[in-house]
Parts: sequence; C-alpha cells; structure tokens
Amino acid sequence: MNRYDCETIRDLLPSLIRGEMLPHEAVRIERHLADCPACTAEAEVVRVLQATLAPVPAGLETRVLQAVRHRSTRRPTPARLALAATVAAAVLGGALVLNAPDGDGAAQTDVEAVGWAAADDPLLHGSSALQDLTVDELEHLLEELER
Amino acid sequence: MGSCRFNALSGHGIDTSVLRPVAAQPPTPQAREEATVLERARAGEAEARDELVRRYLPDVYRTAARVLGDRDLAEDAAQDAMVNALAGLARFRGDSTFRTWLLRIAINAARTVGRRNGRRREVALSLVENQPARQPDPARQAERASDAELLDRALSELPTKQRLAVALRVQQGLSYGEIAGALQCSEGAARVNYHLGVKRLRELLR
Repeated sequence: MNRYDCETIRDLLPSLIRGEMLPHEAVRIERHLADCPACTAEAEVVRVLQATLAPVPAGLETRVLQAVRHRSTRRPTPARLALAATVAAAVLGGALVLNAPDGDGAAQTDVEAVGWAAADDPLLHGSSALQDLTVDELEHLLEELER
Repeated sequence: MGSCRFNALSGHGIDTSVLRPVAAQPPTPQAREEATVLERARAGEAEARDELVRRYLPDVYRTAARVLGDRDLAEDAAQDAMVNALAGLARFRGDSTFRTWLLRIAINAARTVGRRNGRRREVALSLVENQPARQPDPARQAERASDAELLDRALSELPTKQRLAVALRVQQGLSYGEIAGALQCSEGAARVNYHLGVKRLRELLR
C-alpha cells in the first residue's frame, strides 16, 4: 500500500472503530491494517481513544433539566425587562464602536472574546431594534451582563 | 483541495462519504426525527426540550471537559451551554446540524467558564514521559486501563483545536464538516488538526 492509501485509511479509522462502515469496506480496511504497521499503530490509538469516553457525572442531567425548566418557566418582570433594555442599549453602543470601518479585525476578535451569546447576538450583527429580540434573548443578554 | 483528493479515492472502492460535509448528504430518518423534536422544542414543548437535553448533554459535557480539563468546570459549562442554547433556539437556522451548533456553543461556554475561573491547564508533559514502561504480561484489561489513562493525559497536552478535533472525530463521531462547524474553521483545517493531533498522540505514547 502506498502513502496515498494510508491517508485514506487513517481518515476512515474512526468510522471503522465506531462500527459505522459497511462490512465489505471494513474488510478492505482490515486487510490494509494487516500489512501496514504504521496504520495499525494509529488504529490502536484510535481504539483506545474511542474506549475512553468520560462518563457523564451522576446528577448532571437532572441538574441541567431543572435549570432548563426553570429558565423556560421564568417570566420577566417589567423591571427586569427595563434593565435588559438598558444594558442592551449599552451593548449596542459598544457594538457600533466594534464594527467601525477601520477596525474590522479587532472588532471580530472582541466579539469573539465576549462569548457565544454576544457573538451570535443580533445586536452585534446589525439589528439595532430592541423589539427584534425575543424575551428569551433579552433575558439571556441580561444574565450574561450580570455575570 | 481536499474534495478533489477524496473524489479520486472513490476509485479505490472505499466509501468516502464520511469525509464529505453533512450538508451534501440527504437527510436520514434520524435527521428527520431530530428536526421534529427541534420544531416541538421551538414551539415551547417542555418534553421536547427535555429530550434534547437527554440526547445531547453527554456530547456537550465531554466537549466542555476536553476544553477545560476539569470535570467540575465542565459541568458548569455544560449547564450554561444547554440552558443558553435552548433559550436561544430561535437563532438556530439549520445552516449546520443541531449537534454542530450546540457543540460550538459548548466550546464557547467552556472558554467563558475557563476565563471566569482563570483556568490554567496543569497536566505536565512529564506525567506522560515519566510513566513506567508497560508490564510485559499484565491482565489485558488492566493494560487497557493504563493505556487509556496515558492516552487521556497525552490528549490533554495537545493544542485545543487538535485535542477537540481528535475527540470530536473519534469519541463523538463527527464528520470533518461538523468539526469545522463546531471549531469555526474550514473543513481542511479540521482534517489537518485531527491528523496532527493523532500524530502527536502517537509520538507522546511511543
């Protein structure tokens, strides 16, 4: 087998070891492994890796389910919504600075630095109207900024 | 570049579909079922949201754990990611798989938790290098466990993108396209990170 074949085989090893390949394809790869010590060594690494899945801690699922239910049943009070609107406006001001024409590269870095919520936030991507945000999004924004 | 090479590989009789982006594949029954659950969750159905938590929490937790190298912090990040993702479900536009979208949120949540806690990775390379030589004839299961521990430590030594590419590909079964979506890089970069990671692992474990 040449190097070209080895690259293909190594790309497919995770699928082989997860049992996701058709039988005739698996046989073809196993045949290659029988003749190729380098790919066999990589297959062993992939096998052990596949076998070392960290267990999910007991109780985490219950904890997350409770947090999700709590979040979805919370109703924003007028005071919280007003506060959310205020902080969102402050973020919008920051976004306008970040998106200034002469600072695109830096703006992207800064947007990434504030985390996924801000990176995905419509306020940071051109939507300037607070009424475009859902209650969930306002709530989320508020929580992010309260941290 | 990659796709040309993969197309040529079809001549070898090997199904390389796992190397192509998910978007190029027709929806599977599993994908259709997932879309139904997502729609129900979007409509506010609590049971559907619970189902998404049960289905994806293991992937989210393990991904966060690979970013942080700390189980307690990974639990916090996993909870943040699931809560925030489900609260912002309207933002999911279906440009990637839901799992890819969710794992991207998990990675960012883990980074946020890490920054908040001033996380520093503490696993020293010497822990791997100073391991005693493998016993010639231990029980096979014990040897496996030892290998797994060594490998886990070696994995923690990889740069974040390599570590995540390896973990997502091998342990969570993501395609290169999905990994690219989760890591916010190109598919080629995902593939390179995976191969560099596995190569480095082999060197660390030699």
